[in-house]
Amino acid sequence: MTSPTEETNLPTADELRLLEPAAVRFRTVGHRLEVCLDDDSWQESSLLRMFPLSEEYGWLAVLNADGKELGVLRDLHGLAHDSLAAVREELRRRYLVPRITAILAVRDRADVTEWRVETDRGPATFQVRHLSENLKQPLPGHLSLTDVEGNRYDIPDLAALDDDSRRRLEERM
Amino acid sequence: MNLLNIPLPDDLAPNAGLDGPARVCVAADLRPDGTLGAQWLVVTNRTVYLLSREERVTIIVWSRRISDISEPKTLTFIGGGALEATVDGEKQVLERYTGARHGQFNTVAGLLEKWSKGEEAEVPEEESHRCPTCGLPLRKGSRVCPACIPKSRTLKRLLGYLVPVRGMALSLMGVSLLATALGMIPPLLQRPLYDMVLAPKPGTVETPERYRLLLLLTLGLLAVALVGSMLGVLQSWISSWLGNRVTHNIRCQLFQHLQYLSLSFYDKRQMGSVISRVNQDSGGLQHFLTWGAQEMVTNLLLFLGVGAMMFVINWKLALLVVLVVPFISAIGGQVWRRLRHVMHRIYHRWGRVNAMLSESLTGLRVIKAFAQEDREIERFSTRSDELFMPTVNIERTWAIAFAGIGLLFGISRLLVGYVGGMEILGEHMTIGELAAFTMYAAMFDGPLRHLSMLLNWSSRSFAAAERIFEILDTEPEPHDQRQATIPPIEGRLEFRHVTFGYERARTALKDLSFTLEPGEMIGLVGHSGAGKSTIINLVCRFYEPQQGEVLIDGLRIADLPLEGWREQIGLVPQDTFLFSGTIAENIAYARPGATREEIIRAAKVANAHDFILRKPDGYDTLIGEGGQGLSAGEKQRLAIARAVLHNPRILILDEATSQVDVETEKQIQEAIDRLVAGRTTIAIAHRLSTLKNAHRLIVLKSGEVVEIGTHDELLQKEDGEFRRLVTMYQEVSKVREVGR
Repeated sequence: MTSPTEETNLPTADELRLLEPAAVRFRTVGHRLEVCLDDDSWQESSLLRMFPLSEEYGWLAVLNADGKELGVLRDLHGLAHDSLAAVREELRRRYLVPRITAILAVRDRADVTEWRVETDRGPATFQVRHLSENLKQPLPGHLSLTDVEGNRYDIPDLAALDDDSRRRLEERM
Repeated sequence: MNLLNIPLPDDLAPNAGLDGPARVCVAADLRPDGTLGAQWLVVTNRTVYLLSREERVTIIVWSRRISDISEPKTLTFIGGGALEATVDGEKQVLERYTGARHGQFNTVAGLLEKWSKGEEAEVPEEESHRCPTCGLPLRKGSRVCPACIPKSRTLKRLLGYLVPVRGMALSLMGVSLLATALGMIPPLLQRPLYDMVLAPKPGTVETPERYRLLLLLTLGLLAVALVGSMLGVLQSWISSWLGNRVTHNIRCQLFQHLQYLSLSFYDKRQMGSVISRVNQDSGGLQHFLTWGAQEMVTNLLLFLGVGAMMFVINWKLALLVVLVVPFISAIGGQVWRRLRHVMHRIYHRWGRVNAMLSESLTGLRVIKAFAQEDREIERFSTRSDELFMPTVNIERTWAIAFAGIGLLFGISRLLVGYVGGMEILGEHMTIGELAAFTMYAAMFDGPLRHLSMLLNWSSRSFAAAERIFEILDTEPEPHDQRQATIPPIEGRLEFRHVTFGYERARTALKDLSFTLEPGEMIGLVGHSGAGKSTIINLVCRFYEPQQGEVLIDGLRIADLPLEGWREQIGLVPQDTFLFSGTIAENIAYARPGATREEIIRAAKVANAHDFILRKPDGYDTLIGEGGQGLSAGEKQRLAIARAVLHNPRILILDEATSQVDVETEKQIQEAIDRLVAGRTTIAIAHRLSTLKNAHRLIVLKSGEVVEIGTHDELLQKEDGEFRRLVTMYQEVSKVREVGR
């Protein structure tokens, strides 16, 4: 894991350490991410999006196994090819909120609305109660639906939906 | 159905062969590649299996002896998680799932941990929150599936409110029936007016007889008009009384329910939209119950009565009139379908406007301090503007619909005139009959026009009623007036392995255990977010622990009546909440029957007496909502006085962080010392003096106890967390001193 000498390399709490993409390497070991930074390597580290809704592949915080921040990747340009793949893999592993790509049907059933959708993770059917509270627009054009079980489904760009999907959604907004 | 042991998928390949009955069978919903799909984790006595649905058949994809598995635990991701375990010395992800299943897999990880070590563990019962028949989600605490019961339930429930006022309701029905029947008479009188007075067949009626009949018929019409208007007045009077009575009852019930709802209900909702719900929905319901219901009954009766009369007079003409009914209802239905969503939208936008209003006015100080008034005005204007177009649209649609319906009526009237004329010419009908018929046809317009609108209106009101019932159906905190008092308590408070999180995936307290002796004062120390306020929330039973228990004198507080327990607790919160009323009333808030003497004694103990005396109105000084006109130090001392008067066995002290001057600080400290004496006290301490006075301190970090001990013991610890915190605090204080 981490040795005391490496500990001293960590940025202080008030420091924003931007990582140079060319100087970082990522690798997937087992189902965990390994980060190689300068001459240190960090097992079981993780990536967190700092702006999960507005920046998909930018402003990523790189954390070690203890949750301490190693630095921040502002963007992925200049990252080696295999590192890039590992980063995408880690993000897909960690961010499980499905993104709706098409809305196939919306129908009222008793006190819930039932949504049949296509997502980037495959088809899904879920029920939403109190649309006013569970259909939110955190950013302009970005919507999120929360179903009765508390799972979230995102629509990152309303304008990118096909006309039918958009009409079905707008009827309920 | 226990969610931790659901039936095995029935398409499991028959020769798959588990080595025994399943102790645990949980469904996961993410495949290894992160796509959505059904997976199962099954545990038998000896083996763990992973099942996956592939190509319409479920197969076992992986299996291991339980004893080969170690360190099972759950990983929390965003929107889901994974069950990880060490298998053959290597960490592996067994299952991936969405956030909804996190709780189940946490439990499963706990079970696997014990079983893999060969320990015994019972599979707990986790109830499914879905309807066994249709699979739709049920409301929390409800076993009734809203889809599987008839739609008339809301109506029935609304009618249920009429039971206590059934006398009035029945008389309203009677009066309505009478008024409607009366309304049928004038056209009947029209018939002899034409056929015997104005244009009788030559030679059938004598002229003097015609004069006499004219007078009689006119008097008859007058009588009908007189009685009709009297009945009308009576009808409005009764129905407005009824509507207001019923809504008053609903509103009060709603408010009562809102008071008893647990804090977690409010965590998820904007206060403004709750307020809007109480105001708008009960207002809308009142409007409907007062006017709509009456109109509906009258119009329905009129519709049936008039229809019948028309058929009696001439069925051919009646058919012509009835012909337009389907067209009109089609237009109405179309319009309604278009408008429903728009109306819904308007409703929610109103909610947003209200929410914004309350948020903005509550935060006015901050807004002004940052000079952001213009931005708030802009925000408000945007929200208000969102209401503009949908409302205009509704009006436009109505206008078009009304014009269309009017045209249909006009056409049907023309047809009646033409066909009726033909009938008279062919001597199948008299002029009087046509006159009576035309009058009935005109009366038919009203109900027809109104019924479609009224149906909409009632749908809207039903929606309002459903929203109200939705709040009423949210399970309140358990409260039972009958056994509200609990036996006197000594004050030994114990946390035993308490685990709690506001959201299931994030724990705020982890396996917390400590005991407070009666009369002991304990100080909670730690960063913000360490779990100090959470401990207090659990003691007050604002929330219930997920695991473990809180005990008082060895009894689980969860088993005590809630109100009785809370009566034993005195809370001096960080932000003193004062209600609008006099100082005396505010001090006596927890004990409204307190005498003046008791109030003054409490104020003296709290060092509040002197400043109260200096107010021109003394104890009768009216304080506004939120305690306007009082300084922070004064408010704190009033809160202490309140707690003194309440005289609780358990005292919870959430010290205010706001800095007050040295003299006030001293006075507050004295007051607190007197208040604390002899009571079991939990203090979230910010003042060093409080820390020193506490018998013991509990230092928390990320929901776990890191140190327990007296002030001095903890200070002696080199490298101790408390020592670090105090050093930090002293440095900050020094800076403050210099700044002064």
